[in-house]
Amino acid sequence: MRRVVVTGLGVATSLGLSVEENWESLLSGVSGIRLLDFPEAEGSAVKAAGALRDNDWQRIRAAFPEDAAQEGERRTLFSLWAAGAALKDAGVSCSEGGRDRYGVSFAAGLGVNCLEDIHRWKGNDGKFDIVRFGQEYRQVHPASLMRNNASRAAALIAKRSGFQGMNCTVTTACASGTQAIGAGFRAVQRGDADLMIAGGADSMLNPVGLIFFVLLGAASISADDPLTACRPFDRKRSGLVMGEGAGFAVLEEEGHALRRGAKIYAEVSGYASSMDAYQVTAPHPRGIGAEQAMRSALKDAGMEPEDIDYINAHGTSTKLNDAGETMAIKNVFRAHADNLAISSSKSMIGHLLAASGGPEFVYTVLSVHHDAIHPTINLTHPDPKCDLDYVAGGRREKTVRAALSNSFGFGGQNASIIVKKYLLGRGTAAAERRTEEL
Amino acid sequence: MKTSEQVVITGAGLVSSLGRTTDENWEALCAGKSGIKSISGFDAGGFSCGLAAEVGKIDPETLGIHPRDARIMDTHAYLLMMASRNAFRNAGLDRAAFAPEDIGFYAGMGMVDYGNDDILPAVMKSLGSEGSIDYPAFYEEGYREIYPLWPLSMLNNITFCQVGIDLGIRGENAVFCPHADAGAQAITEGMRTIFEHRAKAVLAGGVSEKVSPLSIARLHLSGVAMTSIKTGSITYIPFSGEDRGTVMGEGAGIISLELRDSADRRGAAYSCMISGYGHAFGLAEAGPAPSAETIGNAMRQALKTASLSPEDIDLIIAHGDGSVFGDLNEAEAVTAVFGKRTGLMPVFSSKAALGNLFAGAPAADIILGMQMIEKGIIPAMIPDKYQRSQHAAEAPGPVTGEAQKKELRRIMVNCQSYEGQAASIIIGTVT
Repeated sequence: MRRVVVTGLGVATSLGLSVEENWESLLSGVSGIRLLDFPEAEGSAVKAAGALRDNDWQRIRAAFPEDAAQEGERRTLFSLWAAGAALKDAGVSCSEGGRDRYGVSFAAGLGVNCLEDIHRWKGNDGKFDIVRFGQEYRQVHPASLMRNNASRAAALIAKRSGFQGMNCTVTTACASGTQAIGAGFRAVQRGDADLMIAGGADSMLNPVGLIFFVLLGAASISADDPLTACRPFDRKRSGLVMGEGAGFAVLEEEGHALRRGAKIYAEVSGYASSMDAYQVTAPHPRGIGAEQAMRSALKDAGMEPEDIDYINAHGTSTKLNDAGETMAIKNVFRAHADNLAISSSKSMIGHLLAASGGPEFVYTVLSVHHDAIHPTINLTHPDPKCDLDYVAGGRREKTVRAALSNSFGFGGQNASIIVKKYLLGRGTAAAERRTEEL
Repeated sequence: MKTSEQVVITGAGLVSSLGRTTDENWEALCAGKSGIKSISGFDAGGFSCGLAAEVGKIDPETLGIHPRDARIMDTHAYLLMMASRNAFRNAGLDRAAFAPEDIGFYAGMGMVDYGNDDILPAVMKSLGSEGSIDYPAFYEEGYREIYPLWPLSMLNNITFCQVGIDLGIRGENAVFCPHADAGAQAITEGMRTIFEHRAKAVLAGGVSEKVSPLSIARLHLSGVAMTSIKTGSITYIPFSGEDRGTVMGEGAGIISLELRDSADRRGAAYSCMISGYGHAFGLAEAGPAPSAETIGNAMRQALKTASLSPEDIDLIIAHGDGSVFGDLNEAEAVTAVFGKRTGLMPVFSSKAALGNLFAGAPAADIILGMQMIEKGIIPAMIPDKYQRSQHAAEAPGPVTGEAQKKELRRIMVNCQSYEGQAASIIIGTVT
């Protein structure tokens, strides 16, 4: 199997539009969770989210004026920004054509359900006027999922970059981002592509999005202070806090990267996915699917639990996830679990839902690259069920030989991906054995 | 590739407007039937095209689905459940001794639309004094009219997970979205998962969207929908040169994949394998379809991964969705890839009979292709209705009029998205 390295990173989150700004804020424990101030949010039980700063949003719109005029969804523009930044970081110019071995693997959420589209065609009898809708559907909202296919951003990124290879869009709820990066990793590893831009984008900061997790009982709406409501692994955690944005990475075959003299951040060494097959309304209480995903990713990487120094946790700040994930980590890593540094990026950027695996992968790569780990903020009330080292006290300088990033989706789909330090020409013995097996 | 490492197809499940089993579909196809009719699920009179291939109402009770689960399921969910169960049992996976962790699942799925009645009561409870939406009222009271688990019904992966729970699948998995290329990606990933020993068996395929006012609106907004025929039972004709546009169909196809070695050990039957795959992107400048070059790239890659040359392909099951640019570009691509053999190459499209199943189409076409290989028959695509294409001179000839008897060893299945993605999968006899 071919080796896959990370050569470019790009983000657009509530912490800013550059990787450097994101990383410095994260290390300093600065939160991007802010009060929602758009007019349609007035009265919402969800008061705060990791929303992009308005001036950042305007910057993105100004960078892609044609798309800003045509595209109705925030996530599409987030994608263009973050994917473009990652490609620029990797030194891949967007002007060359004919790249049939370069591809896109994108993670998408469900799109926007517009109340206005229902309201516009409600009849006098209180029913939806389907016939009138059939005559006037061209007036649906620009952001409507009738206008915006899940694969729209993947297509636009490829079109803009001239990438003519594999182009796929993963929709597995909150596991999507990591699964999309996993699909991109495997495409390069097996030789179907030499370079993939992989990641995700999402935004549910719209009226139906704001009640989405309230209905499911998963959103934090009871906290005294909505700005600190996202408190993964804390005893007083009360549910997830949404974020929005995008995160992308350039995944490249080692030789391809070396030949063009690309800067290499780290190597992707293993990936795996699993399903709980338990309930669609809750994760398995003992986290068996999460456990299997981490275990299989280690096996895929040819690594032992002791080879991992850091876990970027799914850490959603819900009762069930954080306890289940902790148990799964203990079951996989056994005695080594106490040596692991674990943190949740969501404590500062919120839950980017389908996109969450995107920026979290970027941060995981940075931890390996810089030997630094960002804290989990708002963790002030230890939970006996969550008793590992979540880096609560502030940033940590620590050698990170390898790190694992988790994403678990509603419904019970799980994904884990492993990143390790890139050493020229040296794979682990176990990984080489696995290569020989294949 | 060693023969023991061939990825063979050990089971299949196909549900469409033509039938609920593979046999029913095959017989209906051979009988020249088409599932395309006037839309009956709702009053489509407002749309310029009111045709679709619907499966009709499916009663979840007959599928043994608990009402609690059915509450967040819709037609697409039942279709995926039915096709997956059929493939699982057909492959004998219910009797095989594979651990749940060793069974993988990959599906292409479409966009999921809300039912208007799911949200309308909430809107009605949230009207301000001037009749517009009062958001504070929506957050205070209105939203409570929405069923609390409704959000789950909007996530296409929830349906996928319900099937996983039903069949006890816990291995490698992913959902791709939303068009035919997504269904093809699922099959590619499933094939590779088996080949790379990441699972012992994999279910792979896809399901269409539900035919609803919203999905029909989406198709119309995309610019590929048939708009010239409003009602009736007339079929549309891929590659006819009439370029009428595409017609939506409901359906799901799922196949079971396994290493030949493994299938042999447990005595599972198979006749075909996945030989190759190719994926490419490139939106045509002229309209919503992949360019001819892109479609050709996917076809060439599929030949390359299968270590085959164009001479080895006996039949193309085209995407052939009847859209203006889709058909034109695909015909050009076939001509470019197959060169002088183009005129000898039979081309079949199932879409005149099944409608456009989008993410469900690739597996459906593979399953029909397996039937063709096993029986040595290419069903007639559109009996008596084929009209000579304006690009027929350079394009391959669709199988029309009469069914053809032909020994088939390898079939190339093409898949496209109007966003610009193209994919090709090659299936072949196991030798």
